[in-house]
Amino acid sequence: MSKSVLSPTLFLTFAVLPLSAGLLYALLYSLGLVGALSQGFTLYSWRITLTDHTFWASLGLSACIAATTVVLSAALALVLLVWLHPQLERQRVRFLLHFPLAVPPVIAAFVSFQWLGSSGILARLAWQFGWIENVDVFPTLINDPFYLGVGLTLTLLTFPFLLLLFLNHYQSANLPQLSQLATTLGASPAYIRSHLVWPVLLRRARPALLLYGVFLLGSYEVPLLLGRQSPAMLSVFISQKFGRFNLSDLPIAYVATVVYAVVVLIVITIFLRLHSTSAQASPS
Amino acid sequence: MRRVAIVLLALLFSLPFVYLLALSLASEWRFPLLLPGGWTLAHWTDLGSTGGNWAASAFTSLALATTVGLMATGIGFFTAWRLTGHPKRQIFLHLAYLPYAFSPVIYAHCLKFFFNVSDLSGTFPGVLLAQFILAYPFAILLFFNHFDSSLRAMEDLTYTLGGSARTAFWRVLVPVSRATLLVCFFQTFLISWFDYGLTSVIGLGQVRTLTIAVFQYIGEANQYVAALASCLVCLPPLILLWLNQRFVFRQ
Repeated sequence: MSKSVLSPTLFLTFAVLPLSAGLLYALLYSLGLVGALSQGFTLYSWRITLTDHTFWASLGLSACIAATTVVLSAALALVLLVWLHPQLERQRVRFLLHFPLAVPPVIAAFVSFQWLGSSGILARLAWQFGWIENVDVFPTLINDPFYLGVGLTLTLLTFPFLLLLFLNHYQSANLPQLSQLATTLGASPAYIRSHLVWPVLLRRARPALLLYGVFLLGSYEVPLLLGRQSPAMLSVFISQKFGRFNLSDLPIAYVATVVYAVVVLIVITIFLRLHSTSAQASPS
Repeated sequence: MRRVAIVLLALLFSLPFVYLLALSLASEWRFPLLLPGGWTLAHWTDLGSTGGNWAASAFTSLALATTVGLMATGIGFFTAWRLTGHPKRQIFLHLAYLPYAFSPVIYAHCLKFFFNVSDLSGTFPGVLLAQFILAYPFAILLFFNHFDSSLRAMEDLTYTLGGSARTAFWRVLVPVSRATLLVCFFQTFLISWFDYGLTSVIGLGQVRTLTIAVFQYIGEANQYVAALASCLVCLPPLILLWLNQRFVFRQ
């Protein structure tokens, strides 16, 4: 094989083919064209899935948690950045900011499970301070209907990453110098924050925020341990359908997979457009 | 006030590690105790022989992550080198984002049929291949940014001076890219080391990595060994952070 063909072949074999083949199989399965239950072309599974409120609840819940986590984390990171900026540039503090990146979602979920549970560390603190008389009174933060445990854990995992991202953009966009210039020209700190720092940072970080939203949409480990069985986040919902012994759930799992793939494809397309716009706007 | 906020951030960020270490060394730590009732090294010293066998899981994770890291870095570097000079480079770049953004567990369910028919499900090579498929697009994305115009100019200079493509690759591009190769190895190592969703679906629970073991221990309510395994999962990234702090931040 000539060298000019080898690289595209490797790329297509290991990066493009697996996902394309997997999605094609999922589509064909969902249309009844392949698989153990195949009886020829049918839209039955699509009709069942698209009229199933638990599927839409899962998709909506995932989108809602992803959006809320990104917004909360970005807001927290922006506020902390502006408030603590000179200190955040110190070598030791910057080193410290990298610590949460060493915690994968599985471990974050386990720690939250141990801390937020009804007999967890927070409940023990509340008991020690006399705020609760027994564990039954402690508010439910795990497997709770509002997904508070999941949201809190994902936010604590996301905001340190965004803080580092904003910190890098803060320097690369020369914001300290520009803020100084704005102060010289008479702008107030609040005006500089709302009209200079936050818009510039958000504009530069837009593609990364969108990509992070896609990652959160497909979160699995945290909702698996801390979330509810129904409605479950999309990855958990799809895994439940694949994992059941009832074979009639398989086409529904494949339909949900195809819908998820379409959502990811749309978001990635928007991301690439934003990315190229950002690259043109800031060639450095 | 700002100093207090920094201290609070430091506490928040270090607390998970301190807590996990304390839990792994606790002989008993039940409600309503805020600190362990007793301390023991037993969970660490028995290497999981009295239940759990976490040492074998650590070895499996290490073997998988090292192999995936080496394969993804090596093949990714070579592929990106050629693809960045390809007329359709932008299409390749865009295509690499899709598998990277896909949820690993859903990706694994898409691939499961092919792994089943090829008898790779539930085997070490199967999980290795699946994790490589996950890490490889990331390596491509990283190296696409690395092969910029200055690196291309160096390569062109080698050809102008009579060097072959092999010389340019081994004598110029690889030595110049050592730092990026190292970063890529660490990142792809961690993709494999942290993975749970893909390994649980393709490995069928028979390829028992540390992350799989953590979930099993939680399911068995074996919180002390789960904490120990969690400490082991966090150890390599912490070492890498420390190395980064020592050799990169100070420069």
